[in-house]
Amino acid sequence: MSRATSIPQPAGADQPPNEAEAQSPSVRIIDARTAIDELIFAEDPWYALPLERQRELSDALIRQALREHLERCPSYRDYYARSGAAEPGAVALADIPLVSTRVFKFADLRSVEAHEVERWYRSSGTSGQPSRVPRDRASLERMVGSVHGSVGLLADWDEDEVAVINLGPGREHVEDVWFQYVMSLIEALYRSESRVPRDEAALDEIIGLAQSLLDDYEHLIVVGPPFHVLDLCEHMQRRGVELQAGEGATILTAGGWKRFGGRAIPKQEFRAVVARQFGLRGEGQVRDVFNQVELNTVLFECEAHEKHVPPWVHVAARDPETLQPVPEGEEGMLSYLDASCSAYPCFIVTEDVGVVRRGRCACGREGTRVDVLRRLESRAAKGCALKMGQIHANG
Amino acid sequence: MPTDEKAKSKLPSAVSTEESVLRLEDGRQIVIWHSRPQSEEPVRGTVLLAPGFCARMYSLAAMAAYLCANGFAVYRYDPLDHRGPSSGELADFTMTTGRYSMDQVLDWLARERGVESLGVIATSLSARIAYRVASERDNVAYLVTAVGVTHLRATLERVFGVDHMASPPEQLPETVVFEERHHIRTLGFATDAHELGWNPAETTRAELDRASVPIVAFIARDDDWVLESEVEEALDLANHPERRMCKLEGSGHNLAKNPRIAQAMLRELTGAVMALETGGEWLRAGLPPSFPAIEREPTFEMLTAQVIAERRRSVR
Amino acid sequence: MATKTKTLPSVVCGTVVRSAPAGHHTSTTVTGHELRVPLLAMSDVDTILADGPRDRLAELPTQEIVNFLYAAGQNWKSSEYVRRRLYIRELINQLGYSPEMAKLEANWIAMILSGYAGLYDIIASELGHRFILDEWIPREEAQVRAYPKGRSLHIMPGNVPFSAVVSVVRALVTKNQVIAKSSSEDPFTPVALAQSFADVDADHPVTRALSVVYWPAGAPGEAGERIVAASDVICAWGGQSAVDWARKAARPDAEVVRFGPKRSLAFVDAGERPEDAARGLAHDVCFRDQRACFSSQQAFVRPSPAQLVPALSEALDNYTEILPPSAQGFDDRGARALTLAEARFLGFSCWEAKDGSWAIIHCPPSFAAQHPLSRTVYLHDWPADLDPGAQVTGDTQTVALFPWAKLRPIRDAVCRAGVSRVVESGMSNVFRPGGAHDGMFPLQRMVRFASTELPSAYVTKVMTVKIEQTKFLEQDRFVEFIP
Ligand SMILES: [Zn+2]
Repeated sequence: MSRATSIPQPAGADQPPNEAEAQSPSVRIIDARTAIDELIFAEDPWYALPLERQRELSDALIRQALREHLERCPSYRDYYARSGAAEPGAVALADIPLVSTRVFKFADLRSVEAHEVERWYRSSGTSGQPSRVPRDRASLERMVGSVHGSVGLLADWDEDEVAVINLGPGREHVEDVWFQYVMSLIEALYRSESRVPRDEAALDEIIGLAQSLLDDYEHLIVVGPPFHVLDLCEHMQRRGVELQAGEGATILTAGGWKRFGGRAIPKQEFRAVVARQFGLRGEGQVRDVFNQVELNTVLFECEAHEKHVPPWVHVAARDPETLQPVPEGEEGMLSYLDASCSAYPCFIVTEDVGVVRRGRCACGREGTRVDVLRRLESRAAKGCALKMGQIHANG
Repeated sequence: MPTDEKAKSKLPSAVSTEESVLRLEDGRQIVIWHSRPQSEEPVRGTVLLAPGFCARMYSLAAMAAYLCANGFAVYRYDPLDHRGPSSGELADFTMTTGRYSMDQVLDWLARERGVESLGVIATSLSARIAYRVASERDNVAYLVTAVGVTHLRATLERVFGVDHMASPPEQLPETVVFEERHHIRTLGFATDAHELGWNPAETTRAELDRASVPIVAFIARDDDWVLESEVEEALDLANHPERRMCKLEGSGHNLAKNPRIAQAMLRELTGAVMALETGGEWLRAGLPPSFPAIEREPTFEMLTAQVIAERRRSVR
Repeated sequence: MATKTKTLPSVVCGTVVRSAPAGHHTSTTVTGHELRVPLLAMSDVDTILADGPRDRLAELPTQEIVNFLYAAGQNWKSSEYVRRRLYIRELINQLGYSPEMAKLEANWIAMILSGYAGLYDIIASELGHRFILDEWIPREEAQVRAYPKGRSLHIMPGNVPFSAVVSVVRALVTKNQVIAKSSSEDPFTPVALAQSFADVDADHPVTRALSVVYWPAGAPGEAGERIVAASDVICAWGGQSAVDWARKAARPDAEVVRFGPKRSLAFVDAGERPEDAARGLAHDVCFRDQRACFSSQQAFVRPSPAQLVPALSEALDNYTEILPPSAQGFDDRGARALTLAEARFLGFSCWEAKDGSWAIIHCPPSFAAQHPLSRTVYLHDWPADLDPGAQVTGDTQTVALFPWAKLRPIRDAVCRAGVSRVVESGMSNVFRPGGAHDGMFPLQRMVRFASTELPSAYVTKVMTVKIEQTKFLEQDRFVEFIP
């Protein structure tokens, strides 16, 4: 049931939940509002807000999150103090000290009490030390909120009309791998079937499932890592199957754009193959989403294939030496200040290289977009010197 | 290396829920879910949850989980002519069908489960029905409502933008569309509402004047469909120390939209039910200044597991 | 980002091949240029695997090979040599070397090729005799001779030209045909080396024995698989995956010689002569910007790291001047920035050059798991109770010591724990003849030993009579001859 949207007031409105103040004995006021939740769970989508308003919200929400983490996370507080950064109210967003995502491989970062941690989630990947990141209930709910709030970038679906095929393990099998966990949560939103396309028989079953769900539901979403989607398409090709989904399907990819053996998948070619094999009306129905275990917000692609960044996340591409933001449109190391995370200070600089753009997108919406281009790869790793934790050396 | 607080633990299992089917004499059936606490401790009390118009039983999963976690046996049902698995189509729903369904379930609980006295928690439109039921039946020990409708006609006018109840029957559109998707036949609903006095605020007030059960009513301060003043008027708090209003700042009619507010509301609601369950005459003299803190809170993972389990049950 | 395209040839048995029937592999250099190298083609494989190039080299006397290399080395020594000048220019323009570092690489190539005495010493020390590849050498009661294994495939390291040249020279002086699979990081050095051989004599068996080919790491294709299948020795340099791949792809009876990946570290007592301590460490950190396995990445320091930092900063600054670092690509700079951010998060003290050319981090040894190379040195405390042997593993190649005389006793502890080389700080890059490389004497892995043994007429040391085995058996006298 809907109501008019209240634009959240970022500063000042926050009060700890459950703190009620009685007007009279028979009336209790329950004020659990927080600016961040009012934005994430607002009735009107954040991407409809004008750019200037997004910027104001971003600034206020991130400062608020900064204050909270400085109060609750001693290791971040110490780091902040050593860095000599200005007070949270005065520091420029670009100067907020960043935690390298690799720190999560060997340090325990937590801004909530141990008993408030729902679980420690880890990065996927088979080699090297995984990152481990704690999340509490609020962080998880906001992550789900970031998905819910961005699904509108795809289409306006009623939950009953949609069925999902998740090309990954179902909830019973996901354990603590963040990527799989997030994918499995789709079942809380839509009717879902999870299948790992591990062999021919499984691929055949998925094709059959897709066909029957296309018949039974108005819309089918197939979601999975790009290489699994490609496996599926190639299998359909071998079997001579071309689905006729028309407008009735969306193919959503998430995860790395490399196949086994490190071969990169060209995105445009990928979209064409997928659109042909599923019989989609257009390549706009093939979309990508981005997330990593250290980031709490899931970023969705619009129809122009740009990943829009909600205002509670500040993204910047940074110079590889100074870590200062580079001019808009230039390549840099991607960093995120994500105010939606209460469990740990999500002020991170990553090993991804990408480009940040602001202003009006080709889709017509205003806001910030990020293009994640590739993973940082140290050329030094190719000599005969051993870098610990080194995994791949290219020829 | 981070410590493994919960990493190694298995997925917490959802509250265990069983389904029962109440077969009526005319062949129709009402589907009832019964959720129980996982613990071995004796049940603290029994409550019946009535879903809002068009909402399904699993939309009350979180509320059921909070109540179960704190020792309550929780029953939910899907009314006749509603959206869920019970007989009939949503398009044919009337207030009296809703009333009939609630009565049938309460009778069934007394007959089949020996529940002589229980609390009723009703949301939105079903709250209007619950107010009448509570004023007429004596096995409802207390009533909790959430964004409960007290002035049906006014609420419907706000929902549809038109006061259809003012139209003569022949001028009514055949159907109206609720939430852009659900077609509701108007004639039966309107006729029933007129004839059985569901429409005006005055009948609600009159019914509540007769009711003697403690009532806790949650309202949302940004609710466009149910106004704070209407609920205040109906409850007549000045003359009823056994009643209380809890006003949720920052929420609209959909209380589940913002999980921070939903969490605060569920904590308060569970605390209220814990207080109300202790029962006794003393409650009629006035509710305690504040409700007790809840004893256990379900985790995100428990709530998600339950929603998914119940969704699976509903879909398949 | 790419501004210019450079297309390299391949070399098939000494002949430069500019056509690319199998297409090109394209990459972007650290300086942002596009670089194209031909992919190995089937027709090249036919030529390479013909018997001629292999057999002609095998028949050549060692001294002719050494003399040939010397002649090529004399060219490399001359600053007027056009091949050298082109090579230096490529290293600067394509690989981002500073002019000083590029010149130093060319000088080292000249040094290896021209150092005939050193080559003889290495043959003598590793194989037992200078002429063992040409003659039967008496050895106790036998005469032994070394034969080349035959065909050697070299999976070249990225960006360490010196190692590429060493690998080729070791194979050639043991009379093995060489197929150099170059790295996309540095396809220049093997080609330049092959061309410099042709400059001396285009039809010389040494020239004809060298081919330079390319395939992407781990993906040899059908043509590359034929090369691998025909290789008797595979020398694999570089990252773990290159080494693992070689082991998997090699024929079961082929010799796989693995170089790296390794790391190296130093033990420094800077109590008495901090300036000298700093100079040696700075050299080992700056030489090849830590890309080599012998470069020091970490140092355990007495009396305290903080006390060494001023002198070390100065020494590193000096190296920035006399041996400026090569251009650091985006990714290398990024890796170091992340490491510094991590170190600062963990509360470690960090010092950086004003121009970013070096960095010092004072951290516990466990932090070495994140090392970005690029002239970054980790200083660790060296408390009295620290066991040097516990600080190294089989992955540690070189341990550098300062001061040499005082610390030499450490060698027992570290070598027992897996280290293959102990040197004086500042000497890591000088591989002395006679020394071990990655725990072995590599020339031994390139050859096959054969022996002819004395006939029965010769008595043995433990017997004063002729060996007449039939008679001994008939008379049951064997036991008499047991000393
Ligand atoms: Zn867009």
